[in-house]
Amino acid sequence: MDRRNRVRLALLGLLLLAFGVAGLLARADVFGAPAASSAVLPEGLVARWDRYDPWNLVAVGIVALLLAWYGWRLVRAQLRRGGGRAQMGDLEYRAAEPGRQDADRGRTTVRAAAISHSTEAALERVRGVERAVVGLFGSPYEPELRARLDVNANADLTQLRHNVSAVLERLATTTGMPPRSADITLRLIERRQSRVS
Amino acid sequence: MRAFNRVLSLLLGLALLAGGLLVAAEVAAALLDRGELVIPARRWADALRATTFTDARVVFGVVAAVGLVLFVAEARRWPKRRVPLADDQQRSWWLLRRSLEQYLGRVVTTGTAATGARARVRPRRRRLQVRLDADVAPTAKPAVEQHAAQVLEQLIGPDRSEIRVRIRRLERVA
Repeated sequence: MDRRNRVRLALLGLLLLAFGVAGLLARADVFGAPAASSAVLPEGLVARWDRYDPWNLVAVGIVALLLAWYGWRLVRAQLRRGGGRAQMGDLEYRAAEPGRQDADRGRTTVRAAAISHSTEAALERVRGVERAVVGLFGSPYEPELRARLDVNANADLTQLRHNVSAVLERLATTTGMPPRSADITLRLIERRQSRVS
Repeated sequence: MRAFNRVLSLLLGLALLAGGLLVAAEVAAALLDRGELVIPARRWADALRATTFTDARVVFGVVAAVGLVLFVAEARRWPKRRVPLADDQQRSWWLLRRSLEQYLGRVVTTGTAATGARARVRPRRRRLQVRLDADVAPTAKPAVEQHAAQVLEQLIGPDRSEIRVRIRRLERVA
């Protein structure tokens, strides 16, 4: 998401720069014809524009709608958690006997939020972890896990990593969905009293 | 920079959404001969016809300057928000750079003779480059380096950091 935003904004910057420089060069008569005293919107262009009426308006309307749609996508991507990634859907387990699968025998649905909240609770029980925020993205059967853990700066990070890995493995065993990848960011915080777990 | 980009992209998206819908509504009104709704397009067109490139030089200059600043800000390399801690199988472990810098600064200040220590961490290929700015006597510099190295070794493992202490102001040894 950040890289996309950077590319998008860099292109916008280039576009603005090109527009501004073109205007300044036109003023300095660099483009051949003396343009400094000519209008920013020349009559010739207005006449050509009027010649295509009403299709010019239709074209402008279509472009405006496309830009509005792009703007909507942009807003939605910025407001989404997890850097624009698609949130994981709910996990569904079908009731089935060994060797048979019958859609009418019912199903169990586990909400994605319930899985991420229970993972957060399990991670917060790990010694040294003060707070955990977990996001699950992509397919529910092979999700991408992103976690941010506030950890006690005095904790043994090697042991902490080992314990966190054990929690994630338990999550995979319980749900039957091993995360495709896990991206875990630790934030060091200082705490005077160490917790006993 | 990441938060700034996100806010700027959000504003850009909102502007495109609102502007696009407004222009589409204006076009629909014009096609149905309902006149202008909000945008005084005729007045704006008349103003542009009466404006020369010389008159608009300030506008072009400002637009070029804003574009240049935006492009340079986006193209330059900003320090990464996270530093790599480890990578095992399908798990990537990271440390928030700022939290590491703050922690190092505090630890050096409380554990050595240095005062007002500030750390700057930059991830390089396999190592972390750490610069410590502190008020300390030159004789205490090796002790500061050693202490910071010990703390980093505990956090990220051995031989993964390069530490340089820069004396900001000499502290008198009491």
